[in-house]
Amino acid sequence: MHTLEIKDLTVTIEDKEILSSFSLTMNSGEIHAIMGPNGTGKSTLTKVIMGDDSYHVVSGSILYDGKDITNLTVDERAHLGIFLGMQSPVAIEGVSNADFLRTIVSTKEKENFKLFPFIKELDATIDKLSMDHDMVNRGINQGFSGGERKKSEILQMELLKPDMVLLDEIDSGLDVDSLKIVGENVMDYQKESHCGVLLITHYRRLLEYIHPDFVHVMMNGRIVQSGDFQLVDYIEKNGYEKIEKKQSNLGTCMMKEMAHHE
Amino acid sequence: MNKITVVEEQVETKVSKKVSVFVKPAHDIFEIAELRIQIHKNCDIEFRFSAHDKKWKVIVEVDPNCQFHLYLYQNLVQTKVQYCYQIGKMSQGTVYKLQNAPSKEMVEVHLQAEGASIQYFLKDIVTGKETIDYYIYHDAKETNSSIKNNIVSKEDGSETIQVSTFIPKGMKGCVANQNNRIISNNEKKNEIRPNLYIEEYDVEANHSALIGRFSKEELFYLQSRGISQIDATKLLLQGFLKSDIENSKMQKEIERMIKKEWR
Repeated sequence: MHTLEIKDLTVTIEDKEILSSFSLTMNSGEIHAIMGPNGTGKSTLTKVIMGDDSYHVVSGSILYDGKDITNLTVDERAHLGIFLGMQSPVAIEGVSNADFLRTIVSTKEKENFKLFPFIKELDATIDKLSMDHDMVNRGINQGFSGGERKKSEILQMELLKPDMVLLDEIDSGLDVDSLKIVGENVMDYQKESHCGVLLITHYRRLLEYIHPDFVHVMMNGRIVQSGDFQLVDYIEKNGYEKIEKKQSNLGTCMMKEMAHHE
Repeated sequence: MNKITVVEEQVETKVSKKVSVFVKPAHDIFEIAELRIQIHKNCDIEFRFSAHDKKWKVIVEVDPNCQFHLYLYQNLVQTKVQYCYQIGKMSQGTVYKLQNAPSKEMVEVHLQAEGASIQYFLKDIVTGKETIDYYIYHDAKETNSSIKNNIVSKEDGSETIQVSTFIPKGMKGCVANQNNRIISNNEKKNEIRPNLYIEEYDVEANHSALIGRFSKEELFYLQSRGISQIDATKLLLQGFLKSDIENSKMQKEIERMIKKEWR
């Protein structure tokens, strides 16, 4: 059982506040989906959890199993079992997927790493994701379509076997068949490993395959509403406008209340 | 594989009839030693070249209708070297060059007749002051040149690279590409001077130049998979230096070089 706890996290980039007093707790076995309009800090959240030092943590903390990991390096966080499937994974020329995948798995497994079982598992996972076996000889994400890049992220997830999975818009660039394959693979892995999953998405269709236990709406760098799958239906029907209005009304009421107390 | 090894002025050859090698040694410090390699038929050549405090001229003459791959491992110290490639009609040459010691050199390529082409790949880790000047002459119609330099500078490494391509009027249908990249791991000056001297309209010519470091996004991506910063840098270096190289011996040599330089 693992717990990822984000406590009152305020984050800036070039003096612009992206996350403001953001809080969320996630346990093993739970699936959380974060939705929200563009530019509200959803992708930033996943990168900050992973330790991207382009962002400055002004206050708050990130705890993993109660231990503060806010100052750990990116690779140290990965070794704890946190995995980030990125929205736009970079292409790296010259480093073959075969070398890369072997390196990441052998780095994780250390002396327990065995080449033959690794190759067997790699082949089986490539088949499961309906990927071309030739991809292992190509450079990392090089010449990959949007869909292939996303499948490659899921392939890495399945090989690394993380305990906490962050998936940033893993559905973007996927056709309907690929979306089903990716969704089912994530769900199978989640059931098998009992990992925690944090999904960032704009669309309901991914959530039909990866059914969330909790749905959160994020606006202006913080969670403004949480609920269950019904919230997805509400957003689908009404958009974010009503939630936004509700928030601003709530803000006005609070201001009035404060003025009244004064 | 044909083999030519030059250590100081000792030349050893293990070549088939497809290749001829002639040596003219220098008799005093003012003279330039000369190595002439003639390629008569399709072949691959491994050329290992080490020298200290010398002046060398290496001439590679390629007969018409030949395809060759030259794997050049260069280790020159305080040595000036001039390479001269003369490529005949419909001949195609690919040069893969690996070096790890700073040199002062000039590379001349003469695409002498129609259909002649050269692809040139340099993989280089520079730790001192280095200057390389390329002069690419498209002396005939429909000739093709592609020069790709991947250089990493570290410690006292400072690179000046100049690539000048000449296409005179009337040389229609030529293709000329230059791609020069320097990854800088220090604060020293690095310079790329790409020159395209083109007098003919009916040609395709491109150049790209980059001096910089590995991007933060690349490092973040690799680290997010559990690879430490130093190992991520090594992996990126391998990718940068091993790209385009399919020869496993040269790939291993690149890995050895990276291991030696980034212990």
